[in-house]
Amino acid sequence: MTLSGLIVMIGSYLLVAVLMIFCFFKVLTNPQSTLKEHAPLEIDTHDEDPPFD
Amino acid sequence: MSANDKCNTGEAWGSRFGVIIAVAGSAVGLGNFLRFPGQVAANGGGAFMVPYFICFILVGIPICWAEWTMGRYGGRHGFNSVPGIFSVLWRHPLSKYFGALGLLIPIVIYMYYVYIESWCLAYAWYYLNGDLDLGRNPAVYGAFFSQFTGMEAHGSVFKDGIKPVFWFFCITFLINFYFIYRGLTRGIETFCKYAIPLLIIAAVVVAFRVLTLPEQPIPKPWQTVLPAVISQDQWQNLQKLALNPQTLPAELKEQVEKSIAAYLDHQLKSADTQIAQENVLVPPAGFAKTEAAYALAMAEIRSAQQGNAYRIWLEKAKDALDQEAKLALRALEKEALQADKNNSAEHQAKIHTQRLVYFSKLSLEPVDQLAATLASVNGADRFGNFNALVLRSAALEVAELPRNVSNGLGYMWNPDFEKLKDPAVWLAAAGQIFFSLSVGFGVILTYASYLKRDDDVVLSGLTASVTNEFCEVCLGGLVAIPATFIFLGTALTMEAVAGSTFGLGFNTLPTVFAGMPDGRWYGALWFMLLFLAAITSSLSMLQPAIAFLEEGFGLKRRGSVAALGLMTLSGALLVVYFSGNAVALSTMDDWIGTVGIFLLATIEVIVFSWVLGVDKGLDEANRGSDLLIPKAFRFVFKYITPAFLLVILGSWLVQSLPAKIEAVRSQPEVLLIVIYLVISLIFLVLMVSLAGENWRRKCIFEQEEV
Repeated sequence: MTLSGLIVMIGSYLLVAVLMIFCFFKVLTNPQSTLKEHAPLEIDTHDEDPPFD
Repeated sequence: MSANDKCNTGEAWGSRFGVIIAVAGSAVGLGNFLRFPGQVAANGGGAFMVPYFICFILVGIPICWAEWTMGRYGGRHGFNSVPGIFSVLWRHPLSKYFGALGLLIPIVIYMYYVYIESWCLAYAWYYLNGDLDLGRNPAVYGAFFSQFTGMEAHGSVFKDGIKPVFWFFCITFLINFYFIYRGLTRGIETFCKYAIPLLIIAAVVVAFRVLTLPEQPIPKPWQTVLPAVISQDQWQNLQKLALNPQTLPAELKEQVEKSIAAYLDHQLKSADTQIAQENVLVPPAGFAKTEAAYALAMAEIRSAQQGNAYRIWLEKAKDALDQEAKLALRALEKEALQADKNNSAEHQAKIHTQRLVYFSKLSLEPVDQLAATLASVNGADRFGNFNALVLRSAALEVAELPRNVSNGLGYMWNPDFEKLKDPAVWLAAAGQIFFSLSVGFGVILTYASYLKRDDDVVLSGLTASVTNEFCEVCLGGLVAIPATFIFLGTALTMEAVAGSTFGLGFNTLPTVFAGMPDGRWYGALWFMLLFLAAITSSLSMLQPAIAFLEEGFGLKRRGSVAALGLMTLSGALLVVYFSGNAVALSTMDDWIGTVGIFLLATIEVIVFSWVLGVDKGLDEANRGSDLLIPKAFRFVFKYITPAFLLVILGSWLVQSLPAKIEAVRSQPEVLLIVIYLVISLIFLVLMVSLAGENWRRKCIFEQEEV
């Protein structure tokens, strides 16, 4: 393995590992909202009215 | 009950960690452990990581964030299915029909993915009970794989009694539907919470084993081993053929291949591994199995009387070249393989000139004289310059490095920055990021729709993506290629990298485990790891359709699971039946697993950036977020990501579409699969239309109630 290969490999591992540790640290230390709220259905598909009985 | 509740099934994730791990589970799949290492090794080694990380930032992350945001937005408006989510994102009667793609893609990919998943389960099982101890010949595993999966011919899985693969397929199919039936939290989330950590532990154990392997001896060439494993008569006939001046290289190639195939077939049927352990026959690989290489082999046999001058020259060259020169020569041979693929004579000529430069630096006999020591062969002129052939074969042998961990890692990671000038490398990086993150499937849209109103999407999306990257770069990069190099050497690693993902996973790696101390247990662990990676992905592919059936038609879980089970079983049985050369599988993968997901991802990004509006989209993404999307991404979302996707899609269409259309025209089974896909799409469009009417009815009832 060449020196440049070693640098690229370790650099890639470090980059990904550090980013992952940072993300999980933030996720695990931030409490999440418990609010569950759904707005009323507001879809209007502009289709023609279905033939109601 | 409000209209919204009638639409929304009311399911939600149990925890934030649960949704992240479920999305990561959806992304982590076979591609992380088998496709990624091959892509790195084939596209400039470590240099590949430059476009890879750039594409991660410019393509992967933006699409992820867009999907998470749009999914949560749709969920807030009462929808969990892609057609429903599209309806609220883009208020147009046609929008929900685009969402039909978000149903078709995961359903069809599931149809063939579940079959591949069952191979992983079967291999893990066979390793555990010792049935996969077939010696150290890659071709034996190739033959086993072909027989086992039914790749020999269509219908072979059901010929002469049902083959075991079918029962593994049934078990895998049922396991998937069992967890889907249990629901989002008790099924998918709970399974992924255990499976992902287990998978990571298994990968770390296998990687540790690979990294602590001792250096392996270089086996003798096949020409030396063949006389020991075939009958004396067969060997004498081959020698006669090689010495006959009228013999063409193609004739010798045919006879040698027949002899090797007969031996491997006998070994496979008799399961006699003793001969295989004593005489490791590594069949010709890469350039060595071309007709040109057989022309050289004939020349070498005929010139043997001249004191084996060619072999002596090779030994001297091996000693004279340092490691750096050998690495450079190996890089040249990788390029030569690529030039073969592209049929580029001009490129081959350039490579020959560079080889001459390397060899001329050695104080050895000039190559012209070396070529002259080899007798000419009838028909060799067909392969071009004979000197170039001699040099190519010599370079491959001379460039062989000691088979240790350092060189194994080097094979994958040594960078060739020149490759960055090649647009194909950038396309490969974008493709890898795209396939790896499971974007464009419609899965993240559905998963994110179960989030709560102000749940974070930016940090969660990034965390899920980075977890996938960890499995891919940090773990996937440590096993397949280094282990293959250590046990099989340069030529076979080159061939494995240039070949299919299946070849590397199911033919090459079992050979590696066969040579490894306690390989049986590591093999079992490896395939169990692949099975876990695959099942966390396949589970996610079922949820979009389940969500659609429940909210579009008011089906209960039992009904939706039964309906989807029948739907997916019909396609999966097509994949199992049309298994010859994996025709059904590759056709579905080409049209849906490649074109389909690029198309859906492009639609999603355009809807997010242009229809919903990039400012509104980013405001929506940042609401409740623990991490704000940088403002610079506004430009990326609006221009760069869609442009990237369109370029990749366009280049695929230019490069591969004519061949795919030709396959549809010339192969009836391919046509049949394409018709099946078209019918499935039409069926889903009709279902979306019916679901749209149901939603509209509910909306009218809601207004009347008010």
